[in-house]
Amino acid sequence: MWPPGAERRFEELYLAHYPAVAAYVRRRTDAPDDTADVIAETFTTAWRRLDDIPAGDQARLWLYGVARRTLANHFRSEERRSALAARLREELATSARPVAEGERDAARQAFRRLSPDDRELLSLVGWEGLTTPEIAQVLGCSRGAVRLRLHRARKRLARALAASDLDLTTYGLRAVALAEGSP
Amino acid sequence: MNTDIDRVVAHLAPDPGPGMTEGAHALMREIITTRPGPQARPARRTRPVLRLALPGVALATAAFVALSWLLPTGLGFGPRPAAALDIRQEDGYYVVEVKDVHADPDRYEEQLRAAGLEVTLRVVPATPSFVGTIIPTSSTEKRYLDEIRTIDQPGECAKLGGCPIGMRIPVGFEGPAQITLGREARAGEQYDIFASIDVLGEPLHCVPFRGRTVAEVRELLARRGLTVHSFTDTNSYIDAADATKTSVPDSWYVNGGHLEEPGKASLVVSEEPDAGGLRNCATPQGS
Repeated sequence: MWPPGAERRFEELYLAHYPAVAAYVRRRTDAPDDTADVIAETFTTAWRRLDDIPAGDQARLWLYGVARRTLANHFRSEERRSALAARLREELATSARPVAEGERDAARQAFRRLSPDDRELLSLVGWEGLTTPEIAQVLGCSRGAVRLRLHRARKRLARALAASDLDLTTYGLRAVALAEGSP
Repeated sequence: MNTDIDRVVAHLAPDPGPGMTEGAHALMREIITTRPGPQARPARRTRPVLRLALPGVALATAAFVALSWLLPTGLGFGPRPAAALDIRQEDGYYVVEVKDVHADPDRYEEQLRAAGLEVTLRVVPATPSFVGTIIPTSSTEKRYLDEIRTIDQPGECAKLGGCPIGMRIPVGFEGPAQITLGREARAGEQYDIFASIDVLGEPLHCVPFRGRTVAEVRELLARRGLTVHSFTDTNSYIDAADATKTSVPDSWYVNGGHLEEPGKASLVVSEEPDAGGLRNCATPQGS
């Protein structure tokens, strides 16, 4: 049996962070089954390792880190299907997933052409709203490294955007300036 | 110089999904009841945490229900304490009000059992946005109990956790249910459930404090009658175990925070500024 209070703490962590973690996973998976599996495995790990989860907002970063590793492993061993989350699977399969607007959008294509590492860094900023120190925690590397890698990733995307036929008025002309003359 | 590129990326964010659904609650119960949990270890102090990353989305979809309560009663001199709960039957439901939020949990249980309800109620101190919030779950059925409904206050509600005034449990509900209710904290009492200090209902809602210095935020807090209780140092060279501090240089930057106890905030700080601006400055949808 687990220590007293464990169930309660897990419930509180789960209720607080599920939406953010589920969104993180959903944004990085295409098939509802994959989404459900990765969410289930991430929180199963959190339950088993409850004592390792830091307090406060750090918990969310810890969970992002677990979700990230779970995602990577999941796609290496595709055949695994969790027995958990039958209901969630159903909901994810039926919940309308809006077709991404402007699938042929030049920005989207430019973003897709980036390396997975660049995409992940930029997504942690743009989608999860994380700051440099927070990203360092999720990725388990130093802040200096994150800052440098982010800088490079932004520059590569800026270049790709500038090279495409993108109507930059949508996003701001500074993207061009960034690509051309940034340090 | 980074904002344009980050904005392009943000614009490409895929749909975040349906949020805290019934299936998500079911998964929580499944994990607890069917998967190996943490092993008992030498005690390490952990506080239950309820922090919200995207609270508008998080809670709006959580279908939280809540109990209502009145100010603590039982100030009389009678030989028996006043009832901790008021339970009455109306239109096929038990309507439950918590009369004394500081009562011994056994007294709640006694009254609930006497009404034929197998319900365990735990009342914990919560920051303002979570006062009144309840989380009803079932361990045997492995799900969130959405048949237990709130009675919501009519009109607008300026609290993240909603503004419920009561809870209805269907007559014939067999349970068991475990319900956690957020209550106001007493002076000096630490919150068990807390939200980020800038979500709807918390003191810095829609106040741009992130990215400002410790000195500036201290001033913002002082204007609202708040002081700083402690700091969480998020500098990368700091071990998580040493992250909590009682003082840091005034020139450091604040990147987040929550109320630790009534009138006292805990701030997340680092030596260098992170992105400033407003987060959580939106009202929940559909609540």
